[in-house]
Amino acid sequence: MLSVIRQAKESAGAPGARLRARWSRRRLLEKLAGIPGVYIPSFYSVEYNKNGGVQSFTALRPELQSCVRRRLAPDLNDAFFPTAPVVPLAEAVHERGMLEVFRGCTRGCRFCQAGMIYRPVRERDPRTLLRQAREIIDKTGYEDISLVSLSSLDYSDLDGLLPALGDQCTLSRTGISLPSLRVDSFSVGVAQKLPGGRRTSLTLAPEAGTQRLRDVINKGVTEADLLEAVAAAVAAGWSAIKLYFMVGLPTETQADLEGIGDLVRKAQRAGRSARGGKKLRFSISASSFVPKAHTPFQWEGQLPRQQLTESHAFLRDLVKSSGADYHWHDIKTSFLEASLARGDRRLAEVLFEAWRRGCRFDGWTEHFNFDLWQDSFRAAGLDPEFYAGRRLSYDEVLPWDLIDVGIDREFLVREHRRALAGVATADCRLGSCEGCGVCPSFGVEPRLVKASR
Amino acid sequence: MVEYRIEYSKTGRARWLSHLELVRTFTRALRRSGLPLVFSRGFNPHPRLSYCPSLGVGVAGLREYLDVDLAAAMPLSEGRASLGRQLPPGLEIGCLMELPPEAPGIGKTVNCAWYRLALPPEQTVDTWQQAIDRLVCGSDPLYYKRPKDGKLFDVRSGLAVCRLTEVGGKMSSVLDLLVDFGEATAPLRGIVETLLPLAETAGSYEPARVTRMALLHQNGGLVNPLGERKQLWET
Repeated sequence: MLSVIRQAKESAGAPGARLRARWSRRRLLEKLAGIPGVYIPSFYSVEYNKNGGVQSFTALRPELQSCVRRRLAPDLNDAFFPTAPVVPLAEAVHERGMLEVFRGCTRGCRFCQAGMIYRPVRERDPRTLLRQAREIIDKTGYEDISLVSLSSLDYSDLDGLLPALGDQCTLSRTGISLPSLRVDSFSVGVAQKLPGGRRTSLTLAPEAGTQRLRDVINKGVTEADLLEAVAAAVAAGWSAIKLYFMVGLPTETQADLEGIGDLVRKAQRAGRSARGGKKLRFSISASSFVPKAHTPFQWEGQLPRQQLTESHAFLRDLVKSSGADYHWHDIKTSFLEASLARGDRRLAEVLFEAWRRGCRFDGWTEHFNFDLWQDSFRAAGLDPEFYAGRRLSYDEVLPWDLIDVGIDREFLVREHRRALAGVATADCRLGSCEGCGVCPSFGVEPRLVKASR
Repeated sequence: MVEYRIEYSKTGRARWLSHLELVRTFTRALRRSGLPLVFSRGFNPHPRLSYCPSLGVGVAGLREYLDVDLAAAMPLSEGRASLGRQLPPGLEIGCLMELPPEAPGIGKTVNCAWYRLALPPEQTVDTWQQAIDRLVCGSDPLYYKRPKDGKLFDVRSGLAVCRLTEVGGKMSSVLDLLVDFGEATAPLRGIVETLLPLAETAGSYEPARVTRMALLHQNGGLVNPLGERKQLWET
């Protein structure tokens, strides 16, 4: 098995041609192992300790580094981006062209893996983006283009990009969409001006119900931001709003769950007064917190299923009593996610057992069979609770320590401690370096088209 | 603004595209072709296209039609080539025609369809002929109940005329049917599912055995959507 760690296009060019050469499998793996960013699992062994955790990794060949460092493209303007993807004839899930405005979100939400492992922020020039958008429109025929970065409206030169992009889309009546919106009135205002907007439902993600907990997770959103965003959405013609929350976040108390209910009621009031007394439709979606590798919350455990079930039931009653819809992610799925998200190599056996027992399309509720997964863990002699629920200590070796994404461990520890103390950390887009370590370790810098606003 | 009528065929794997998928495929192919489309107004603009009555999934069509509005006139061969390049295998442009101003749209231009059905091989031509005679001019009532809503159709109501042709060798016979469009007309599936038991054949309706040969307007004579007069069963 072979894994190329991140930004495959950066490292794939060289071996691509040689892969076709008639080397033995062994020889091929040896050659590939010499390419930075390529991880050959069979060239490393993992030793486990008596507590069930990882004791150490050993590189089995003298020429190998002790861990595999990811590759990154310092300048996305020269990096490959597909502008003529396959366009399916049958209806697919993401039926739109994708424009990657930048890579690397530096907002620093402490639960978010993508926000850590894709650092630093690297924006594409408006010129590059306009050219790519042109190609996508011409070559796919898609009716919409979506700006798919993690928080696309953080792009530093929106004023330079959006009007020109809008002009470019006029002739072909291509719509521009945003997968998610930052929670503030500015974003809603921008979204309103984009062409092709269907004013049906707007999605905002405050993630937590109280300011305290939002500071813990470093989601830089206030109640005022949300209420202004709701008012702006009404003014812009939206008639329904979806709010996303997470349940079971570290340090969460009953007060935080009640806070979600309060926040929903306040948002409903703000919506109603902005609509002149007419009710605004709210639907609340809640997922269960899943601790992820390479994030400040990687040491946290997931709450027991029983407790998550009670929290969701409590929230459902609370939210429904104020007349909003409540949807939540299946707790068993979230539990399985958590047990895989912080897993080690031994889980390969579980995956194989699950496959052998017929687990397929597990993301679809009608196909998901939790019992088969439990059987698979049992067959492999492993306990899913151990992976999902266990609180890890700072000094233990983590199964993913073999992969170096460039973020200092000390930074993650510091962020975790600040989280527990409820202290927020600023976005390095705004000029201050918070010392995550990725820039010095790769010899790169954040790449913003325009100096911070 | 100029209106064009496109004649195309839908065969091969493309016969398995649903009408919705066909619409999406043509819309995107037209967008990629660079032809100057005319869009509807409103929040959600879409190109102005109209299609003929939909084909069932799996049924092939040899002469299907689509009307499209373009902002400016263009040489027909150029339009045919630009669009043809963007279509997937199985969808092929036959010809392109500029419609005169005020011409009725494709929906009003056709009122019947010629279907060809490859009959299952297990029966003799004589058995088929007897079954067909009973289907067309028998005196007993024949009804088809549509499964999705239980609506009853008189199977003979839309069946204008049919013809059985024996195909030599091991091949089976083919049945040509001219079927009227209309709310009260039995769907092709209903006609076939009525016919098969009459011939004591256990098979069921298989869309892949059906080809829509032509779309026509019947009013005394037969005229195709390109304005050409046609004899019955003339391609």
